[in-house]
Amino acid sequence: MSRTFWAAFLSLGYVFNLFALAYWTDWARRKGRSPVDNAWVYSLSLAVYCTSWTFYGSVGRAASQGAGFLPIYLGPTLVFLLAPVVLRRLVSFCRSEGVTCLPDLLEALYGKGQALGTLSTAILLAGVTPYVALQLKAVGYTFDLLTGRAPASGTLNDAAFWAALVLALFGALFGARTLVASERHEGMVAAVAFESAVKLVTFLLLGAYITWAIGGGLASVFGRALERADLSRLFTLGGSSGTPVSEWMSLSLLSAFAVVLLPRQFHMLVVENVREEHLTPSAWVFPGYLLLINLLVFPVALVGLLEKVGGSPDFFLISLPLSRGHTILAFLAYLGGFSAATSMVIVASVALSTMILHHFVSPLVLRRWAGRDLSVHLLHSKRVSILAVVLLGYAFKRWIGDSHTLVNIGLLSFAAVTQFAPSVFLGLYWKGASRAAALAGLLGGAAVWAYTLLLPSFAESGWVSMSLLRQGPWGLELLKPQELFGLKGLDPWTHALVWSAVFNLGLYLSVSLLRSGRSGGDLPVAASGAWISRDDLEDLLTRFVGASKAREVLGELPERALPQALLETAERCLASAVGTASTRMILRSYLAWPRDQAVEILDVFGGVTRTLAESREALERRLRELSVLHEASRTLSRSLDIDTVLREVLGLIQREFGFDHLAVRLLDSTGALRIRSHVGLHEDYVEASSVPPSRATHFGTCFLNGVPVIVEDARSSEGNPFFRMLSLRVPVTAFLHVPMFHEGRPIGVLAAYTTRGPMHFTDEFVGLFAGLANQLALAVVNAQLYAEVQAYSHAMEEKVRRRTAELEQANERLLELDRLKSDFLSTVSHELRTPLTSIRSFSEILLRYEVADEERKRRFVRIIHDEAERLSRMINDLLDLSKIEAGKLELTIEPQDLAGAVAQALDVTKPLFVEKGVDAAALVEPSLPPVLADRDRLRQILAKLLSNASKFSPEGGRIRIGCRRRGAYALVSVSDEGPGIPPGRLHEIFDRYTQVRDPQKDHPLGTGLGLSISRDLVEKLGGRIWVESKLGAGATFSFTLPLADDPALGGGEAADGAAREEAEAAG
Amino acid sequence: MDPTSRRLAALVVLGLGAFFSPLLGIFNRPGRVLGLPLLPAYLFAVWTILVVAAWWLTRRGPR
Repeated sequence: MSRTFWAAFLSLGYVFNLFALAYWTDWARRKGRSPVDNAWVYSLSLAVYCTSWTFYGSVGRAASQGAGFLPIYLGPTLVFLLAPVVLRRLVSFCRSEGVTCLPDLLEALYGKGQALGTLSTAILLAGVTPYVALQLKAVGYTFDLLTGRAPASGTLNDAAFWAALVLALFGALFGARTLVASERHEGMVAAVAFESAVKLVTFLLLGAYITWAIGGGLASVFGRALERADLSRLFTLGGSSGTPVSEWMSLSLLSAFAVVLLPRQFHMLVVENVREEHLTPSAWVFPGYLLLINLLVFPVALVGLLEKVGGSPDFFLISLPLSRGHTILAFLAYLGGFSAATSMVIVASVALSTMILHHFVSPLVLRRWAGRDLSVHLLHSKRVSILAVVLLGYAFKRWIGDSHTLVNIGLLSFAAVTQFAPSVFLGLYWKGASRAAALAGLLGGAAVWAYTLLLPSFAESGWVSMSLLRQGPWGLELLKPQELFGLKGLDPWTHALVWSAVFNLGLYLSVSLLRSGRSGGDLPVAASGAWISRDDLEDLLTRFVGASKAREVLGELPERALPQALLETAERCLASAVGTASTRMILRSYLAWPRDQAVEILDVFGGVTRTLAESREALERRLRELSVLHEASRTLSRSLDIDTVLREVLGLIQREFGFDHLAVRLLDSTGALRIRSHVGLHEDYVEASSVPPSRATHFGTCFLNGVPVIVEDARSSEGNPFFRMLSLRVPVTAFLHVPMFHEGRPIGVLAAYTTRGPMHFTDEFVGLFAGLANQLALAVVNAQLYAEVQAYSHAMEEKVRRRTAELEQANERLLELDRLKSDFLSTVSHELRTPLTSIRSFSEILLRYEVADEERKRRFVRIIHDEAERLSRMINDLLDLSKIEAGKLELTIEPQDLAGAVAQALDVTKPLFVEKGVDAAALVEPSLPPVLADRDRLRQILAKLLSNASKFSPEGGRIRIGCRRRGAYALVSVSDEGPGIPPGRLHEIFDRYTQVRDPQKDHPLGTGLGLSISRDLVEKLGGRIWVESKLGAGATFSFTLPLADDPALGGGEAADGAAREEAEAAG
Repeated sequence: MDPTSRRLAALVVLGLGAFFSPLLGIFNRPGRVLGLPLLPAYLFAVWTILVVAAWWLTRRGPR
């Protein structure tokens, strides 16, 4: 009896200690210190994975199946190595969505509807309640084992019952402190972490005691075991070891998923995670914990088997010390097992109760009592749920009795939660899955689980006939639960895993692929609640989570947070309190309320809200208008090309205000209002409507009156001729003209037409439009000014260019003259030297040598005389030339008889003709009046032309001189029969020093100045000189002189130009 | 993935290969090493290596 007392006392004391620890932690948290905000505590709390099934069951499993107990820890080890990568993503997703349990996660992943959450909760309840039962059973059994009393038969003397009650109390106190589960249960976490430490330490202590004190050390234990064939088989896999390789694999896989998806694991991993960074150290702390707690499992099991202690191998940890009389150590072992069991029961019941609340209770309660303050009721329902879960576990324990070993129930749970793996892990990473797919996969997997695992375990417990297993239902071999569809040769776990993968994953994938996209997901509620206020939401939250919590949650947001942000926060808070589906319902009905209920209640508040909303709307509109104006002015300043500016601004108005047809009319230079730029109007109308402004037209009225013309229903304007024409092409229903003012006077009209029915133009809009029109006016004027400036500057440039060209030309001419002058000088000096050389050489001969021959002497003197004459001729020519060039030539212009002049000239040149035997004949028109000329100069010109002709005439050729009247001029021409002048040289024949050389003679035939002087003289006299020639057919030099009988030509420079023009026309 | 994540993933692949591939067959036979049975010794050794390696890889990570 004393042992019973001590065992009960120890258990109660231990639990009391947990209460104290949890209470202290919560107290410290309120003081601002969080003992739980620590990666080590987090990792230790995750070790809630190691339940009494680990503490006791591993030893039992090692004793019967050898290494077969290890996959349960190797799978989680590998999963947790990826904690900083994969699990962190899961955790951060859940935190961001306010997810607090697995069904919540599924609803968050697959859209919010109740079916998925309810189904998941049911599956988890069915899968995990037996696990809770298992823990209670372990507590009861070890209590009885320790105290040595007969297994309890009733309820009140069953230690498991009292343990269940106390643990439920703990859960209710520390696992349901507030409804908002996003506020973590730090007291509970601290207790669980403490318990994890206790179970590890006790197991290691007991293991060390058993291995070394009883077994005599590792080498001894293993040495003895290896010598025994029935024990050495435990050290291998497959074959006779009891652990097939397939089971090794499938148990690893099951436990890899279970370590994340089991409700208690999910709760600790996700909900109780203080910081995501804590996941990183857990990648090695948690696997290290698993390694340590399994380190001595083998030796303990082997010692138990070697020492042949009676009883179940599951409880070697207690029976071995007891057999040696070490009661204290047995108590310690009991305490370790108790801590493992209690932590699991507490966390699992809290996690399950959250699900029950979110997916069973909340939907019902909310439907029934919507609108009431539910915060206290909901909290109570959660506490009741915790109690219910634990008691349900106890009831199950009573029901199953002793029929199951610990291990089988645990693995059953693992297999159940594994069914969630496809929808959770694929759902996190793959966006293609749908809600229907998740439902189908879960249903299929759960069905396979129930049929291939649950049913056989019922059969083994004797509740269902074993014939079901052996022959299959209704004798259908194919449907045998453990050899479904003829799949034989696998252990039950692998068999179940294969088939649940086929059905679960298969359905999930096929439904996803067949029904594309995620169905069932709705738009976020937040989008629809733009009007909601902070106070509204605080009221709403108070009803579910209490006033202080509501204030705290909303108080974290900034003062002027947007309604959407408030609503999202409220949604997250509510989701963690009552589940996502219910949250949705609450918010929907809450947001819908003002629409569904009587509106008059809202009059007072509604009025204020409406005014506020309107002023806000007005502000927003004003802002938009301002931004249009701003953009318009930017466009206006971008370009100075008037058409570009108009086009861009009209495009802007069209875009911003949605007018399909726009026009800008400007007053053009003809005084008509012409459409300068437009959008969507017909060219015919554009042409036709270019008329001077008049009050017969709307735009004319607008222009003349200088006020906007607004026609909100265009049917009233059908009598207007231009409007009729316009509406033929464009079915205008309303329009607006505003004047474009610049410096107080209108310069045009901006018009907007709409075809979408009658329309009301607000004063604000008309004001804005008028503002735009005035900006446009300014831009137009600027552009016009710019165009004028452009044109002026173009003209200036043209002028400068022309002047520059002239100057360049003049410069070129100057250069040319300069060059000619140099040429002239060199030619003149050359020409002067030739006769000088002859004169000098012949005069030297005469001086130095005695020239006896008189004839020769005479010839020499003649040459000297001729050359001197030639020289003086040349000098005369040069003098003439310089006189002409200097403008100092003095002419005495008198009427001259042309016939006389010709005769005199012929007399002078006669010797030349005689010398060459040339015949010269003059033919002068008899009635030819006198010409106006200088007597000597006229003779000089004629003599030059005649001597020139004789020079080129062949021996015995003829020279003809003709004088006749040509208009107001006398035309004098001298023709010869010489070789002619090549056409290319005709134009230069009058240039100075140009000589057409006689093809037969080398030396020049004259000074080369004669023709040039003749030309200058003729031009001075008011005539013109030119030459016509055909190569080989002689040349004709002609010149004109004004006749004396024309009274208009009284001589002098004034008439000179006109006379020349006429002469040219005559020539 | 940052380098630490990549290394951890490689560690997982190593663990999968050590525990679940046909390589396990090398150690899945009777025999002893340092007086301990071969398979358990191998499994616990690999397990220890994984834990130490994970500690080594994450020790510079944020705490």
